Amino acid sequence: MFKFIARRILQSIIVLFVITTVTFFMVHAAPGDPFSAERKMPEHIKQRLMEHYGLDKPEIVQYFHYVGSLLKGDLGPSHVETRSVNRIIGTTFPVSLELGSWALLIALGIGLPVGIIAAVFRNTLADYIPMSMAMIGICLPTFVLGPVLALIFGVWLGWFNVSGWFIPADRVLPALTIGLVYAAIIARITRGGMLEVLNQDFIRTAKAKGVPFPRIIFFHTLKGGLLPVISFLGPALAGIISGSFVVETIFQIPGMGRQFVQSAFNRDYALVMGTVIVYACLIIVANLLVDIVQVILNPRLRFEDS
Amino acid sequence: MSKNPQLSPSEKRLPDVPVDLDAIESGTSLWQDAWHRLRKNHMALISFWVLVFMVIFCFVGPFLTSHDFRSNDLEKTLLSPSSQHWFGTDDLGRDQLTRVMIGGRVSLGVGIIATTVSLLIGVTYGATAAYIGGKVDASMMRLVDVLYALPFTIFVILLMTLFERSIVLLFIVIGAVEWLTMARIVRGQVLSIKKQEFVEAAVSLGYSTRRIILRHIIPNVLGVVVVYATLTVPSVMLLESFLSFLGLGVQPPMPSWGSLIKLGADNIQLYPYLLVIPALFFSLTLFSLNFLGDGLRDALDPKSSKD
Amino acid sequence: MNVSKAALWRSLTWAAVVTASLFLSGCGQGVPDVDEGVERGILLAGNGAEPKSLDPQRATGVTENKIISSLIEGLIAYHPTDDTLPEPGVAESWEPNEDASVWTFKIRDDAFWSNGDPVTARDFVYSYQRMLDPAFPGEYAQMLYQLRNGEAYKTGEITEFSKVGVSAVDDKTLRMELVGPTPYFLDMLKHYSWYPVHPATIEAHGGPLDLSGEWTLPGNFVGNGPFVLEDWLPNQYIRVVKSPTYWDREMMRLNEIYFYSVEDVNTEKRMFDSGLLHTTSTVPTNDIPILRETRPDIIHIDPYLGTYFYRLNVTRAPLDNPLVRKALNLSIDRQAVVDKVTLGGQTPTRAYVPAGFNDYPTPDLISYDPERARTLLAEAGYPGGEGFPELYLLFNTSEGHRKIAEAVVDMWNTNLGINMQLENKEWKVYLDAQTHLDYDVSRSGWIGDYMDPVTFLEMFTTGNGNNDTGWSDARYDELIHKAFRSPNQEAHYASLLEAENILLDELPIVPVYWYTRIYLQDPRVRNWNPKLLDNRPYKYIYLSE
Repeated sequence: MFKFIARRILQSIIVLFVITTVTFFMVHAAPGDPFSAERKMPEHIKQRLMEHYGLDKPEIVQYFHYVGSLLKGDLGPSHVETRSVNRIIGTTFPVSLELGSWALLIALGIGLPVGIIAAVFRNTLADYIPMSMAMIGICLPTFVLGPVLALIFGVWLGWFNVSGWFIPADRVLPALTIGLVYAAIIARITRGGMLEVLNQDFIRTAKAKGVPFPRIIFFHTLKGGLLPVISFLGPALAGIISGSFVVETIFQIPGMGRQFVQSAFNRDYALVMGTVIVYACLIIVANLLVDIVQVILNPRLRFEDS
Repeated sequence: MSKNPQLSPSEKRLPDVPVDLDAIESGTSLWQDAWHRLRKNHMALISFWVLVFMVIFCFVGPFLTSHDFRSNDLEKTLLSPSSQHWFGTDDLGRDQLTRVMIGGRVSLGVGIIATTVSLLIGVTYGATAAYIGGKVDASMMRLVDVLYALPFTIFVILLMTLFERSIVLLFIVIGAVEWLTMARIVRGQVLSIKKQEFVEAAVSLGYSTRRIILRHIIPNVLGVVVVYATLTVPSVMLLESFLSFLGLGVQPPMPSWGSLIKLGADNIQLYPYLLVIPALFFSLTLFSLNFLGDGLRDALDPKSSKD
Repeated sequence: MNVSKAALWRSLTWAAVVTASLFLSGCGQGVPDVDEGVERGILLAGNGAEPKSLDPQRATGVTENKIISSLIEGLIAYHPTDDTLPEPGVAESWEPNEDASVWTFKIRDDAFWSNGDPVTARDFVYSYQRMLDPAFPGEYAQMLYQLRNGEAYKTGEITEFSKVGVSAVDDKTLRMELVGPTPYFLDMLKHYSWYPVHPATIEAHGGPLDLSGEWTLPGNFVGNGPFVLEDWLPNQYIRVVKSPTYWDREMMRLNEIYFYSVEDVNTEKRMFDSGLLHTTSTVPTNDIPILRETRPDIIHIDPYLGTYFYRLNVTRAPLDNPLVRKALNLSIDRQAVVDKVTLGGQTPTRAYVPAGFNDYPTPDLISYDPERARTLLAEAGYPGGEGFPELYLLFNTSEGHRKIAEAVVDMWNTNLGINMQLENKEWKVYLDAQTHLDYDVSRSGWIGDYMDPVTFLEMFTTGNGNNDTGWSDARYDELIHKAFRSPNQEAHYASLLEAENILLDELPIVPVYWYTRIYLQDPRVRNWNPKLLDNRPYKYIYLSE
């Protein structure tokens, strides 16, 4: 197993390098620059700014300079905001992490049980009703669910603040907005995965042998049902944690999701690079974890790298 | 052995197609059985007809309404549903009924085409990677990792500026992003199937890799693929609405369900019909797609039984 | 018994516990609500986008200015009710010479920086030298070109700052020599590009050319205004508290201000509705008519010094033909746009420069006459719109711009029989296209920097960075140049009027409406007066039942 992890880490470094390079040139290829604004800057002033940030040099030179400082752990100054990229990410990432964790908790806490129940009581009301409600989670975009929740629970009932990230209760509405959507998806995937297993021969054998049903569920089926969920969670985790732009905008949350999108729109090259690199690391780690867990849960798989 | 009277005439029509016992054996009976099972699934049938209605509604409907989706009427803005405007009017006085129909064309079109594209690419890619395994698998999946991590927003902006705005571009952009997850899921599934006996049997029988992948592996992966495809269509349609939210979606005055829902979400308090109606159509379509997908999955699963 | 049921119960219980603890810890606000704000003298203001910089010499936006003007005071401050009148700020008195080309300011004795240092004339000299330094990227540096040799110093023509027309006669007396008579100089001085910065603070954080912005962060920021910077939580709020050293602090009844950076207009509205804001930066368009009817006590519509217009790329046919441009101008029903589309009580334009300047006689040359428009179009060679190429109207992504663009394009197509299309581009791409004249018609807007029509008209001189139309007229350039050096107000306005008439004859633009500021406000906010430039002195504002 350790050889596997070591090999994966090596591969990950290459992947990260490729991502950094491709993103760098992609971002610089997009028309516009960090300094253009509605009121035009006199040319020579713009020239000064470009010089200050090293943006007047050829792209290749800029690239090597960036990689150089990257290796030292410095993500550079933001081209648009006042703080450095390190500081911006340092303050926004934990927020997104926290929001994502709560959302994930809600998603798993609602999605797994619902999916399991629906699979077990398949094709009865206990299947149709929860799955239909789960459908609502999938069908409503966050930019509809969020304002609706904020309106009902924030403005009309006054139970929560409509926006902000100041007190613990502020976590509820945004986490629910993201969590409900993922709960629905997880419910469906769990149900699907569980059904796959429930239909297999060895389950029928166990039933015929008289093994009590709950035990069948827990010991035999659950693992099989969880596998596709874990497959799905890998990339989804990174997505949830790196923040949802929409939810952060609607609820005024100082998270990384907003930076991810805003920096692209602002052509804040350094911040785009910074957020992409963090996001990429997250995905790589998440995928690695998912692959490891998959093998643990399914002993028939080996660490598929040799 | 299954009796299939349809086979002889087709055989006669295309004499140069080699008779494939393999296909006769597993291909036809699987699909026929599936069709039978599907027809008995009431929810799936209802969903199917709902979808048919949606398609007709969106693609034929606009010819039947007396309004154009583009014509503003500043005297008649933000009217609630009435006999003249069944779904009311929007903030520029345009007929919402027609706009929901036209919007449906865009959303359904994007949903179906982009999902199909991502399915084709994703399934083939994931299955191949998993089946071949080893270093090839590793590099293929690392490539997926790279593509996954690239910033979507920048990617879209770049494409939009390089290729001008058009609906086709939208399809490509969305399809190009969705196949990644599909590939990953399929790979996971194939990895577990690969170890099963019938595959080892096929290998020992000397079948080519391509044949094993196409004829043995993929049909067994279909269950998960179908379920995930039915999750992809909503995801694609939502992605389109997210693009509209960012202003990178379809060019106005062309509506899509995503942009209509966005407009509705901004006006929930005062003009709820602007949200409720497009959202209803959107949700109904997705519901139907999902139940149909469930039905397909149940029907296609060779091991599923009615107990 | 049932392992799965147990697992289920476990997760449910856990979820309940977590939720309960969230609720319980939810007691206590974190930020004040409106009632607490009234009680404790804390103003909660929605401020739009997150400010990029709090350095007055690098800031460029309205949102930044609102915060900066609470932290720093210039020689002349904002008047509480009338934007055309000067209000003594750091300067307690001033004296122009006979032709208003040399101004002497007396700095008050009790003006102090927030760290206790007295405000001196040398602080201003230092600040202007920083702004005019050739290596300093201050976007509004051009404002300081009004100083004699200011432009020369900036472009590097001269290298001794002592030759620039600003000097400290003594600690409390500042003298400024201008390029020519500038009767409206006091209006110019209200702009934040003329604000002073604290030299010692700048020096302590990398010097005048350091662009990291370190000195603007809480804990480092030193200003001379009614408030000091206490907190800066990015994308959440900026909090300022009453300054212990401000010369007029005795009369201030406001203790703190929270500037919330809320970008989404619907979120801002929800914050207002749920009692988290006293005043907002804007109102969602479709809510305006209903609010005007049902809640006139909270919705405010104030005239605002700005013009919404479309630029025409005169380097592209058929827009190079003045008849076509006139036709386009005559075929928009601006009243309908304002009444049915923007809904914000705006004024349809009669000219380009907004009405509202004392004595400036706003021309009445823009109107709606579709008949005449069609005649002109036919004259130009496109009878009934036949043969007219398919043009694109470019706008940047925004619900508001989209709505107006859709309405206007529809009017053009219907009235003229042409086939105009819409082109929605993302912000930076849109800016890029406009700068490189890669468009046909482009949505634009301009807000006045100070109370003089020249701030609207100078942008259309040849080669001006903000022209972006390709239009050029030698006589126009001459008149603007003359206006900057007019001996008195009348001559100044006369030159500007003649220039505007040329502009309205040639029409490289299509003015649509004059802005209004629309916002929601808690009736308990007092002394908040409508201002044409929307600049108000926070020291006069207070909250009470």
